[in-house]
Amino acid sequence: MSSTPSPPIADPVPAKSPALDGQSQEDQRAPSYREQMLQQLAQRQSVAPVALPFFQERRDLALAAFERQGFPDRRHEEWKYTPVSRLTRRALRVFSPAAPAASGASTAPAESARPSKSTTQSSTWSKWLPDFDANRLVFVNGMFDRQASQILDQGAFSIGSLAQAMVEQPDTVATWFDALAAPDWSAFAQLNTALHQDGAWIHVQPGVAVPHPILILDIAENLQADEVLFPRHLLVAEQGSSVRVLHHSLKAEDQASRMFSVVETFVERNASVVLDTVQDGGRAADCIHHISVRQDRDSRFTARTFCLQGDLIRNDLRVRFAGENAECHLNGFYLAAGQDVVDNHLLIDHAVPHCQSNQLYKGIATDQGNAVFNGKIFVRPNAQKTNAYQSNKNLLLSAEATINTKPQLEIFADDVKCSHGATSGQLNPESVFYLQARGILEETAKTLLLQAFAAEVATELPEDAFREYVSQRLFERIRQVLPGADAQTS
Amino acid sequence: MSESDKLIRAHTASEYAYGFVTDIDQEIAPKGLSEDTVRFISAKKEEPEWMLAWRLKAFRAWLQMEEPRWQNVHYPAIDFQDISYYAAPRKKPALNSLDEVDPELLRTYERLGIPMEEQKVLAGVAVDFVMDSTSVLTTFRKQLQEIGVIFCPISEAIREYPDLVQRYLGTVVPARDNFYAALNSAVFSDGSFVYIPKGVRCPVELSTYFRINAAGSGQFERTLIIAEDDSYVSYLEGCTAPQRDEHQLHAAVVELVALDRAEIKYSTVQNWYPGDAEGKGGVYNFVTKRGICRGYKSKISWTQVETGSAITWKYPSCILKGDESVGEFYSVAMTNHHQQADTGTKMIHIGKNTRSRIVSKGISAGRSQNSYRGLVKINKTAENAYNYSQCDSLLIDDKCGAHTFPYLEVSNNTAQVEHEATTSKIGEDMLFYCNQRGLDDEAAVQLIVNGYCKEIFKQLPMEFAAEAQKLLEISLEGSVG
Repeated sequence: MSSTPSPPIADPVPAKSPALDGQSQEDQRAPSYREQMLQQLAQRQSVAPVALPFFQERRDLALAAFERQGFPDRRHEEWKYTPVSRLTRRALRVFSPAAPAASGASTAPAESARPSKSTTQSSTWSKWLPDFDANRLVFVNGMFDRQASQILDQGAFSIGSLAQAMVEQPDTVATWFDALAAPDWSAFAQLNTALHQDGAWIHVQPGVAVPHPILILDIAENLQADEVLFPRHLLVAEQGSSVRVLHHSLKAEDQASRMFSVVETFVERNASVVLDTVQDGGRAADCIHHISVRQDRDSRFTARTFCLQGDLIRNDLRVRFAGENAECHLNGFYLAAGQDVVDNHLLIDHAVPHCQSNQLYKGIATDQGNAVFNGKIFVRPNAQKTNAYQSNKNLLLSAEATINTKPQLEIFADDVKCSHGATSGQLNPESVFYLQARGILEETAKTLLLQAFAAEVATELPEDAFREYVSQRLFERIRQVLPGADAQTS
Repeated sequence: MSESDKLIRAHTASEYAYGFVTDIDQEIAPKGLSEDTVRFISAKKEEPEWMLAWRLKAFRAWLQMEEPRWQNVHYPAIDFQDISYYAAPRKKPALNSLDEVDPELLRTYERLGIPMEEQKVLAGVAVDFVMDSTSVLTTFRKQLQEIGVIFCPISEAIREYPDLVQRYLGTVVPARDNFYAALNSAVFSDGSFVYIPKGVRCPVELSTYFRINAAGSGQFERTLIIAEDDSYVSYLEGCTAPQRDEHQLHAAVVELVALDRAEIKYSTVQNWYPGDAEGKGGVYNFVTKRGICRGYKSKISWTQVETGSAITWKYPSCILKGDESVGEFYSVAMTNHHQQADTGTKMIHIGKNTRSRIVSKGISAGRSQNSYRGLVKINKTAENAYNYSQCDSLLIDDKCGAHTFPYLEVSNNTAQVEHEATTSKIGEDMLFYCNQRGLDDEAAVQLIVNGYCKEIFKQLPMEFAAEAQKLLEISLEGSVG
């Protein structure tokens, strides 16, 4: 496995719109950001020494890429519907514990010294989560919380902190780290590479199945207004291995938080990875989440994403087929209420023949919410016998809500079967009437129908306590956002 | 054997049947574009002052604009100074009958397959023939005039019906709408003008044939169709260009205005020279077509069959402003060899209870790239709007590409929007079924493709449908096996 990313054959993402080059205002703003970032980088280096020059190089390269790119604006085709200004109008500062650890030699990333932060089981978040058997990795404000974490399983796999792994097994991490980076990664993902904090390191040896799912908790707690989190997770499933990862980002209180996160995932030959993501950061949480996946021959990848609450949620999920006969299943549910913007961008890169991809994304927009979906299926020349399906269904519940959806097919091979369908509409009045005629209150009927709409995605989850938890939370959110349903009891 | 087989035989030798040059004296403006060019064109057309002012305004706007680059087509930069912006047949005859037409021109008609006399009698089609930039001949005008229908070259309309032109020109596609619309507004030399008065149902199908003849010239025609309350018109447009090595530019603007309960049906068969099998030469077809359903219950229907042009880049659109107005878009886009097409439509729903329907069929063969790009926008005001879109792509070779870029923007919760798209190649089972019944691969493919396009062809007037089918077959030639 080469440590440098191979350059893409062709750029599957359209070039920046020409208008972006003449960014005079950006130019004025950029230096200040740059200075901030550089300063923070210097600070960071004094805190955690790098074990390999490679890691520093990746940070430098990414920062340079970010500088070239700048933050996208609405003239950028991929960011047309995303109000990036919500993120960039406030100053940006990497979160750092109030008192940086003095001993630079300390290998593990310093535990936060911020006094107000509680790192024990009694944290507010812990009471929300069901008690179910899982390996748990907890990151509070991007820092690994060893006490709150628990590892049940022992075997030929590593589950732990990425920052620690970079120190303890730098060569292994370097094989994978940032290997999926591409020039067309967004400014936020580049910034994450440049400034990333800690994150999960999950490395499963060939032929090994991790018995219990691994729950990654990204928690934002008591952040300052200008503080941004940069969690970075790395999942590697080597040949013939299997693992299920639950990635849950949530927030203790309804305060503002910003998180620019990246998950790199490698699904090696004949391996199987499940990545379930729940985004429930509260009504003021901004989350730019980038997931890049590479699949080798005969591998299988399943992702289920639930965007439940957030001021601005933007997900870039990219899957690249690097070996034949691989398949991926990407499902998602999103809910945009209040003035939330939920934006899901998917890119399935069929680079080789005989692969199969499936997408099912369903969304609800209400109040002044804006839900965006862009699912791109990219079939490269020679990727014959590709099967790619995509379905996107949206419900609009209020007059002010908006749905912008762009299912997209770019196909350069002929022996393929690709299809997509997209719909937008409201609840079928006849279905509501049917239930009413049977004595069910209108609100209840609507709630039931919406829950059924969402359940199609939730029932994709295996039947366990986590599914119970997600469904419950999902239904709760639906009840909350349904107009006139506040008084209703469940 | 079969009828289609004979047809194939007949066309196997020919790459582009319409690639002949008509040798008529032409008056060509020197190459280059400046305010003087605009003034020259305006003077040539004996235009009033307001028209010149309008053109100059557009030209100045154009100078400020940047050439768009976002589209999914690739071509070398166009040198706008290396184009001649005006070419007119010199002996413009004052015509009373066909006999007075330059016999060379008549032969051109025949090769184009427009038997004028025959059409006059049998088909009842009134033809406005725009060769290069000026309109040469309009048949049936007298008959149309009797019922109040105006069908004439737009240059004539500017002189004779200035009120109408001033009232509507640029209202649907403003001069500064986009780069090519601005260019067209500055230098358009001719085109068609149609006005259907209140309550009139146009008895014949109006037809225009566009043809680029002169080398190194661009064609910038401008069409304006106005349908008053309760009127109906069906308008056909056909396009061809001779075979040339260099690229020719065609940047037209078409504006349609439908008032209360009016209906406009606009059909295009576009067969500009697509370039040879190596991608050399061919027409750049960069066109802005837009219609506005301004009135209550008005309807605009676009049907297009695009088989020609090296690059086709256009989005015939409907602005559905009137309540209960209807927009339709039916398209077959066929690309072969090195052709590129980025075409689709925009349906902008503004009025209540507006409905739109999009059916797009793309066929890619050879090394061509075929994109569908469409926007369905439901504004907040568009209560109970409904859209149904269907885009299918068919791939006939492993080197070609088919792309779909649908944009759905819905801001009203009572709207219902449905979009479906599929991409596949011709099923081997289908081919086998045909083979088994004695059809060879080529005939089978033509049969299947024709079936695939039937839904669109049936929207076309009969003569056009037959021609479209023939064109498709010619375009498909050599793409199988």
